[in-house]
Amino acid sequence: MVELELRKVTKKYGDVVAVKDLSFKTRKGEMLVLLGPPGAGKSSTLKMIAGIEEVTAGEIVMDGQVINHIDPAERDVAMAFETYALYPHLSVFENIAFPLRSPKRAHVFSEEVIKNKVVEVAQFLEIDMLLERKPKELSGGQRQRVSLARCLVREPKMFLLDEPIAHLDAKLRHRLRRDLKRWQRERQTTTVYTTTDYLEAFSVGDRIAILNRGILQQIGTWEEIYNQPADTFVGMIVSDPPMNYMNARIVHEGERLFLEAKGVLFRLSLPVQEKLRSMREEEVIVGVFPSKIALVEEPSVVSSGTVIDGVVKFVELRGSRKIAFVSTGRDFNFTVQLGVEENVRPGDQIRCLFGEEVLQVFDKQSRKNILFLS
Amino acid sequence: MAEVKVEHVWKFYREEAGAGQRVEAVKDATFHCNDQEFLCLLGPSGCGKTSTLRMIAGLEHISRGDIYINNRRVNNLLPKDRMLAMSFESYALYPPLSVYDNIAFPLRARKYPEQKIKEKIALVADLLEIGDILHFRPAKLSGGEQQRVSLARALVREDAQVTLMDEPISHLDAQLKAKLRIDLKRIQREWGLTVIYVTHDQLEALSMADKVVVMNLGEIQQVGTPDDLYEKPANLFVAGFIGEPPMNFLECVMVKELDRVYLQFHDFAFPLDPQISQAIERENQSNGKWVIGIRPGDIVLGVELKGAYSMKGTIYSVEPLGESSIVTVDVHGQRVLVEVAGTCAEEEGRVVSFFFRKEKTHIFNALTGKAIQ
Repeated sequence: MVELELRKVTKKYGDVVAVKDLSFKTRKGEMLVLLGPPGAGKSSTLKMIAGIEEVTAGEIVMDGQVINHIDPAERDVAMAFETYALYPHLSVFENIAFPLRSPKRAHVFSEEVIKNKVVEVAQFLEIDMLLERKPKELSGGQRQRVSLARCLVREPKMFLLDEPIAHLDAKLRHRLRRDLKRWQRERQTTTVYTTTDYLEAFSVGDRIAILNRGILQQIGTWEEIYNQPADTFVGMIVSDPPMNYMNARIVHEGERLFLEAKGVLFRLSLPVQEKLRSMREEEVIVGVFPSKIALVEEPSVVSSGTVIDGVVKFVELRGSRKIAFVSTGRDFNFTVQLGVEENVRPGDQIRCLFGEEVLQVFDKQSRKNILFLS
Repeated sequence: MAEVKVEHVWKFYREEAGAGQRVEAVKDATFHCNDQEFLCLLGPSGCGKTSTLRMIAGLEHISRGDIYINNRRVNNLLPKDRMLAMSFESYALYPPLSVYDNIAFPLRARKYPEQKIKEKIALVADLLEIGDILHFRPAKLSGGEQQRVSLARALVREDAQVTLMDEPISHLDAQLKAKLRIDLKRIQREWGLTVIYVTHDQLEALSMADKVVVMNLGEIQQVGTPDDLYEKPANLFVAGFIGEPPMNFLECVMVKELDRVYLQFHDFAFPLDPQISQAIERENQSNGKWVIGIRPGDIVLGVELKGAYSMKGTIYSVEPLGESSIVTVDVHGQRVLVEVAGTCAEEEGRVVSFFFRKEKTHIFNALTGKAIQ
């Protein structure tokens, strides 16, 4: 079990900054997920850790030792590439066995041990029936699994997995999302894993680091991120549909504070009021996840939170849930996530509750979450 | 008015190496797309959905059967005479032209005034977020950008009777995809477009389509609304393909005790209501093997549901997904997925009971795959 630390790591390709001043520290045996859209700097970060890309500035530290100048082969990390990088002339079996036969290996494995290891990992990834084939005879999803198998067959200090299940069909992706996590946990191998999919990140990650344009936005467990999104970017990327945002203004009524957006007055909890009292600006952004808006029966009396009436514009079916697009008629639209059993149709009037505990408030300039700024 | 009828259409290809062996890419496909309808052709790769679309477009010869657009048989019409707009997965942009000129191309060919062209492009560029790349050449664009330009070029064609789209948003990242699903649906409705849309992504089909044609191995599996497919899948293929996380399947044997018919999975027996057991007993093609299907969201963990089927197993894993969690329960080596709202406090290794209602249970013939309705 190793501990990996990045200290102010920057990667530039010419003038383009791919990763900027990135610092984080993994715990021993942890699965840390780098989550971000394409171009966020996730793959560049993995490649620097693996040693196949040079670090422009900053330090990569493994168990207290700076490894910037250590040869990739000496680092003893196993990486699965999103682009597969298989040897075209070797069979699937030989591709997977390759790292076990490498002359740089500390111990030499017997053919029987190699066979057992290859078969075990091939069965795990459901490619055991393809072992005799050549890479060109495989589909994209099968190649991705061979690349992953070649990585998992080793017992390295660290696994680096670059979007390892992105190109698999839904059923297999579901199984591997769950079982890769188990595989990693049973072996207690420190792992850095990248994905663009927040559900995958939440599911496999002990902690999640969110990157945007090469900059770390937030790092934490999924609960921390979901309950306390650090900025508007995080709120957008960890929810589908994205967090609802609206511009709002702080309103004083005697001792009490409200937020006013498009003619709606949002009631606020006492801690939120306290946070806002110290603000110099009046303008903020209110954010609410679509899954945290509740439908309420009519007529109803609510003791806290804010009730907003609207008309359903349309409904998107998402299998076990539905997304309703609601318009209030005041240039104020939002999305609500509903259970599939809710019988809501376009044109229906609905009444939504924005609870005090689900409102997030962001600074208009920095777009940081005001409620969790220290 | 625009209406497309596909009647008993087949597509054969001759296999190159095989001695005249025929590959059937599309087998006897029949479906109708009504005026202003959003129809999705949905299925895994190789299911025949793209071949079907290309036959409608006139880019592939129809091996057998007929295609009608507005009740006119179009089998022998050239693509340009079918009055269609198309956006394909392989972007097919003109490399020497700028993005603006690429989108303007079909409009200029139809002698639109430049002012009108400018307005239309501004509208569609805003919608697809390509306003700042209009002066670029295609070679400078990322795959996702090229795909949006191709989509823009299809959408500006308001004279088209039918708009055909082949995986138009499959290369985009999740955020943009989610946005475009909503925008495409809105445009289709507001502009009254008739759309035939090919995708392998069940979520795209469920969220946008008025009608879905599910295909597998060249054959149509089911035609229905998104609700139909989700609530009443016609067979095991549709049941497993639609819905995420996927439906759980339990292979059962039929058991008869006194007058009651049960489906049995290991030591769990599920008594059937009389209508269902009669339907099952009428089927003589199943060797007594049946499959029970339950959606992960239709299972309740821990809290007893009166009158519901119950099972017991060991918690294998708990996956947090933010607003919900997926709990995997191991029952005699079979993994059963349960979708739970919010966080789940269950721990791995614990033995739990779970429940699902009879009316939420799907039953399929294990041999033919057909659902008992």
